[in-house]
Amino acid sequence: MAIHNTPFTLVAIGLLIYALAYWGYSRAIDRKIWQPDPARPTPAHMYTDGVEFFPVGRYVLYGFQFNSIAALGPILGPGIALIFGWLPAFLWIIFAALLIGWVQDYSALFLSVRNEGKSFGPLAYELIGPTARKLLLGFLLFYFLLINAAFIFVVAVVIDVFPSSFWSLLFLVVAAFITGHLVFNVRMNILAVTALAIALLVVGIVVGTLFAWPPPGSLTLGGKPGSPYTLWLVPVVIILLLGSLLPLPRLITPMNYIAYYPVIVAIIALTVGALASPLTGIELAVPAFKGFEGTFGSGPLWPALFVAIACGAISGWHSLISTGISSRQLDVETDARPVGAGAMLTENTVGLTALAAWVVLAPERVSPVIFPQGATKLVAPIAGGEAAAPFISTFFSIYMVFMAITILTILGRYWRVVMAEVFSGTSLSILGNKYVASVLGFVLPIAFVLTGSWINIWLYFGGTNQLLAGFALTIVAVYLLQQRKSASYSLIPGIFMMITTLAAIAYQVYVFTVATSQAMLLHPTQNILKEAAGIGAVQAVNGFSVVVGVIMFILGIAMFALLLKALSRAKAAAVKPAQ
Amino acid sequence: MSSAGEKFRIGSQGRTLKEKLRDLFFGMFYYGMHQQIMHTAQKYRDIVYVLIMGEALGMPILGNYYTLRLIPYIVGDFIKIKELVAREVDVLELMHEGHAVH
Repeated sequence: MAIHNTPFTLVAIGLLIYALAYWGYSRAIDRKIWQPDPARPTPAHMYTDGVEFFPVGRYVLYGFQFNSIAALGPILGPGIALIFGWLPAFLWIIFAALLIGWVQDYSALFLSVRNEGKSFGPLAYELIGPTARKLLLGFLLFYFLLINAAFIFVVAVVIDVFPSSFWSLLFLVVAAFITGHLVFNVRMNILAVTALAIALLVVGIVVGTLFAWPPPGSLTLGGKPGSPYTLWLVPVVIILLLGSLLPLPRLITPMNYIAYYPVIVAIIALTVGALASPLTGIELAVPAFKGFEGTFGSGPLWPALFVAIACGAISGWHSLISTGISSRQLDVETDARPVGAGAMLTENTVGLTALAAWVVLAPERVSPVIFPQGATKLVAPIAGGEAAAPFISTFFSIYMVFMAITILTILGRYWRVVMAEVFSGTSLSILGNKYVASVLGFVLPIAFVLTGSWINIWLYFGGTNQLLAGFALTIVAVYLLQQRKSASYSLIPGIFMMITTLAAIAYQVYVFTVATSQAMLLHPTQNILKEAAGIGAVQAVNGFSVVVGVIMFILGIAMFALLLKALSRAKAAAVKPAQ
Repeated sequence: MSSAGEKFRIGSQGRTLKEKLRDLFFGMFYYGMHQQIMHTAQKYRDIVYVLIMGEALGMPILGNYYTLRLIPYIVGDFIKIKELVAREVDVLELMHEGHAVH
């Protein structure tokens, strides 16, 4: 067997490039541009309050930063990128890892450290202007809507194909309630509680696998497994509403805590599985290159590829994490590189190993359910073989469902907070109400889910996520120019990301517009909606996506214009460099 | 807070491989929950401070008998309390109550 035709090659080359990014490029930027001074007090020391601001050790903060940024994005993106073959997906992941991904996380972190630990909103307000902050809030509302849609879609189809994952999910919810009670009310030792919670999860996986009822597709409208038109959405939305409305320590905090254990196990298993592929005989099943054109839904390689793989390459969300928490807890400035760049490169590794799971299968149609199947094929030979395959398959499906559900419950709260902020004091203040906002946060995304088109929803989401990254990179460049420092390492990726993502959003608006105006089905599953409510309902669903896309595009263009103005102002400004 | 920090080794700068791994796993698994507990506790403390010292913090809550009895216990931390309660919180900062979004 040719070793170059195995996932091993992808992961091994990727890891070498990541090492180069960390010990080469990031070190050079660190020394030349930001010039960290271990003697300069960080916000953690300047404003110590024991809650927001306090010094945290380098390895603790690195672990926390990785925990904060590792999620479902890097897992799902590579699947869509395979429309163009595995080589473009691989090249984009390593190219972004080398030149863009860590640049954003690390620079946003340092920007905040040098600005009193301010978060992204106040930084945008200060460096760009008040309109920028308002645009950012509006942008975030739609961003949440799209993430919710993308992840609800994942949960619906994965549970539909792997009903075992639903029963395991119930075990997680029960384990979370028990853990929350034992930790916060009984104040039991965390290690004992953790052992109990993990035991419950293992029981959940075993019970789920053995009690895989009802058969796949039983609750799907139309009876075809893997469709988002499924009744599983009802219990899922109930769980999401519970998570969104209950106090944090009751469900979300313990659920996040427990769900993270399977995540780490999955990451390790995928990495080992990929590195062992020359021994296990698992080969690449996807062609290296399929062409630049893509499909009508995805559009051409540029810009689709660059938004399809989002968080495994670069993610705008990370700038919110870097500027809000980590920057306030950085002990010394020299820790910024291991925390910001180190955690992002670890996330890039997750993206790479996820790609390894996707490329070992060659499905006819892109769907989130391919990932658990590919991961099982990759990992089963080193973890018990055929006998263990059903359990491994359940494990990877619940891994996806757990990640999506924990994220969705948090997003429900974020959405509510931003809705309250945006609509408070207006005639529409009812939209900021806790219950109204929570229900809207999970019902509106269903409209996207009903498009039935995973690719289009994901590319919309990826576009907004990457656009946020473009904003962050350019805001960093504005600051560096104000300080009379070289900003090209941040500005060039920032401009590239903004142009690319705006083009991607515009293309998706075009796709939805064509589907709406020509009364076209975006995906065969929309036949169910057509038969139930007529073509008008299909047009309404697709039209809703057009409206959201147009708003996102306008907000993005407005922010882009503001950033360009701020850049020219910053170039003209004469500010003494920070000491 | 310092005692909690020492107990959980939050400020630890691991030197040996064992210490580094311990810090890493602490940060990866426990630190997020620890931080949320700290924030939740602070929210409750803020409410108590506002009820006791609301007027001094600029909120129109008149002092009463119990307030006057409690003031000696917290007056030493007044400046710190004022900073915590009166701090302007951006809406984006409220979005950290959980781990990754994607």
